[in-house]
Amino acid sequence: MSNLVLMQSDQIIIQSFQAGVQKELQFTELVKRHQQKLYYQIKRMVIEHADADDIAQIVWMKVWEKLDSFKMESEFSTWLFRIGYNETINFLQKRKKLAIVHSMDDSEDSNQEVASSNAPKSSQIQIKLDQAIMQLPEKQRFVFMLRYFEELPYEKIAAITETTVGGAKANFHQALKKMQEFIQEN
Amino acid sequence: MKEEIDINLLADEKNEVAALFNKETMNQYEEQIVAVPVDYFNSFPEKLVAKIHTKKKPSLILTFNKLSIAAAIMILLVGSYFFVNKYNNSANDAVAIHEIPTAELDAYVSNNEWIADAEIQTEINKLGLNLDSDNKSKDSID
Repeated sequence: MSNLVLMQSDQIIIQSFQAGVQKELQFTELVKRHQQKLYYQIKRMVIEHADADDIAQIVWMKVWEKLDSFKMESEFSTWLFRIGYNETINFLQKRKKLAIVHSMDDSEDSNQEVASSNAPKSSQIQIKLDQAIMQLPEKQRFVFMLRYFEELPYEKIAAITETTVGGAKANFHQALKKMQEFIQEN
Repeated sequence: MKEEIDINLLADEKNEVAALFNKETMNQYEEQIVAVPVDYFNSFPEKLVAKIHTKKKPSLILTFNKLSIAAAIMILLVGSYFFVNKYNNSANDAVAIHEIPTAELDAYVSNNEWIADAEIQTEINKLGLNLDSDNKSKDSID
């Protein structure tokens, strides 16, 4: 019910934005409502705050530019997360290309850096979890995070990642399997 | 009913994850995710609005460039309009002689015959004077 109320009010805000009524105010309201969830999901993927902040800004600027043409066929949050998903995947692919350019030693160092950044790290199992998550393919990682931490239904995950419900489920279970294998091997 | 199934499924999946990494580890992972600089979320919307304003403001150079392009296009359009108009008008004004009816030609000639005679006479007079002077000069030579 509360979700429905929130969705309706999102719609009203968007309608006002599209009608040109205090656009910045409407936009700011949307940002305030959804910024945390979007930022957390991006940060789960890229780990570093600075990167997550950059991507979040890109996503919100795209929302500002395209909100006029948003047809409200899906929930605003689904649309927002879809933009977030695309931008995060773009960022990770660019970073991967850069890593290839660098030498193997450098990339190993940076991997260790990612794994060891962001205190607190209390135990070995914590580090293993970081590594197990980081070795997942991007899409599986994204789906795993949305399902486990955001507790989203598969229908919504499928809409965000532009796949089928079955595909989303398969991504989650593949991720789980790969993490299991990683733990056994290490 | 469907929501209930999904909640049960989610619980099962969470248990599967907990079998690999205990819940505390997962919670600690999330703790590092939600850790952000002080006041980050309060200042983020303002940061975005400022960015929108910067994007909106066009630079003077860009404005000048756009204006000069627009002016060039206008000159080109106006110029070609006048050129095409002039060409069409001159094409329309020209009437071929065979298109004029004979009766009209005859009427024109008869109406303007005395003018033509007078003009011819004037010319002869002029030429006559000249011819006389020519003859005189010829005589003197002879």
